[in-house]
Amino acid sequence: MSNDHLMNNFESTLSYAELLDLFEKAKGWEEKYRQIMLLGKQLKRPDGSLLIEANQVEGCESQVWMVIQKQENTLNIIAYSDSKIVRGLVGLLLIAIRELKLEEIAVFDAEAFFQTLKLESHLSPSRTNGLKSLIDHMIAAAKNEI
Amino acid sequence: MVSNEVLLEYQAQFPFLNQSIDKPIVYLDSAATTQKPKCVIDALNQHLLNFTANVHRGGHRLGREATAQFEAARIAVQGFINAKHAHEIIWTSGTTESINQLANILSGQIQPGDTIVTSILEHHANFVPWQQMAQRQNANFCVVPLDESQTTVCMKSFRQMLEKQPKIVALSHVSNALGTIHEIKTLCQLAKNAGAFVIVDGAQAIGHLPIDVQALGCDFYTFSGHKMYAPDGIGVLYGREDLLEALPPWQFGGEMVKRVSVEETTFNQLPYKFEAGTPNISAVIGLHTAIDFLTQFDQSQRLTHEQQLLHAMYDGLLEIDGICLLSPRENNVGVLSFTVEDEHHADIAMMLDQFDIAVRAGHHCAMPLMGALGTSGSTRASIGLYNTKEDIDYFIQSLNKTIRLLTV
Repeated sequence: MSNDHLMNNFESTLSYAELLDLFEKAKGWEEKYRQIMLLGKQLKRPDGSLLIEANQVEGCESQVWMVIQKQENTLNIIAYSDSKIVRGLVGLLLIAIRELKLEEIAVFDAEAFFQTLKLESHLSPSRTNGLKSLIDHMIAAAKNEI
Repeated sequence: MVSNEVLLEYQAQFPFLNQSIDKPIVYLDSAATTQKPKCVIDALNQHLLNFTANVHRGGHRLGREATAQFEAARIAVQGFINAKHAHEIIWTSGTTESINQLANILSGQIQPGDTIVTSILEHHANFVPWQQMAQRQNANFCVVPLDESQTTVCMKSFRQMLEKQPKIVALSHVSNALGTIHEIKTLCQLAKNAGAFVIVDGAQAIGHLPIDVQALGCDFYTFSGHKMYAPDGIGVLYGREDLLEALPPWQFGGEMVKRVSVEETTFNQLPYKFEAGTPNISAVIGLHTAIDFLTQFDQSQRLTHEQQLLHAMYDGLLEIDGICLLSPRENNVGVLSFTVEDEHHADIAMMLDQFDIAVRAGHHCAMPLMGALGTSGSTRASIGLYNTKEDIDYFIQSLNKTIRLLTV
């Protein structure tokens, strides 16, 4: 973990409650996808120096890069993917942990979170899309910093 | 156009098309594996229910029956690919094992400085075993590049490589990533004239094209059952009798020996010399049924049907903005690989999945080819005999929607 604080690349200001509300109101899967794509759009491509193999997590079909830093009592996560859908899922995750403290991130239940949003099973964290690794790293980093 | 009755006849045999438990799936991933017809599923069941016994071992009635069916399957495969002898058919677990077995038994033929030729279009299964063999034996590893069409091997480069008198030439009959049918007969003959052992990876050809190994003139031909409507876990290594007689076995164990003592072991005759251990008996019987299934249809009618769907899909894709087709329209078994400008192939496949369409996204186990084409991967839609014009129309329509959904 680096000590220099990196600029966060996620520009959405949506709160967790607003997110839940948005998905509650979404009619059908196409609308949910649209919201995910819109969130993904707000995950900006970070500086190329971060998109290196050392920052890559194990994905299969798409690639995911991430850097996790401790910031006061929480984590600053800079993540990116070459897949638009995965970028949107990363956005969901960043909103989910936005208001959480290290102790809460350490016990974060990703499965329950994605179930709350009632997403199709293939949009949940998996080895294939790399999100599972990202969550594992995030939880490990939080535990390590407590 | 193939008549409706013929099409219904194809479809009626596939239970997966009529599943009521879930939404129907438009399956356009037959290049990865084909769905199984009811007769194949029934054959597996029947075997396991009534004839479970090991082959070539017990003298009991069940064992005799299982052995008879098992050897009848070998004769069916011999006929299907027009091999000269049934004992030229070796059972393996699939194309991958067939090629790895070859790369092992041919090791003794390769000296340091020898040349091994393969192509940039190969599936990793027909690339990595030869690359590793070359490294082990200090041999030269030569890879035939793409020609100007970017869909098949460059004949000029191939001829140049043959001047080095390679010991091994290993090429695919059909590209798994692009669907291209290569000029395999010409390639085989040129390689034979140069004195090489010629190996053909027929994994993507076997479910579509008529195969005649004697006419091709190759030394070895390999394929998998699961890409020709048969069960998985069964494959074939065809080898010319004289070569198989002369080459050493790779795996040792039961069935492949004649006599074993503390001092020495003598090996069984062909094909058993190359079949150590208990084979996948039920899958062998399933493969026989799949051959009967395929040969009941008129071959040219079956191909025409697949070609019509391929052309409809190709022309439909051409009309979509931003599509780049990597596959050729002609000389193609029914596989279309494409990229969409500014979109990730995984996103396209994920979104199509949402429309209940099964396609493959990625490098298709052909990373050298993807590198040569300057892409990290593609989306691949591939056709089986059960597909319909409606499937293709729905695919094109859903792909249009997919692109719209991805560009909010």
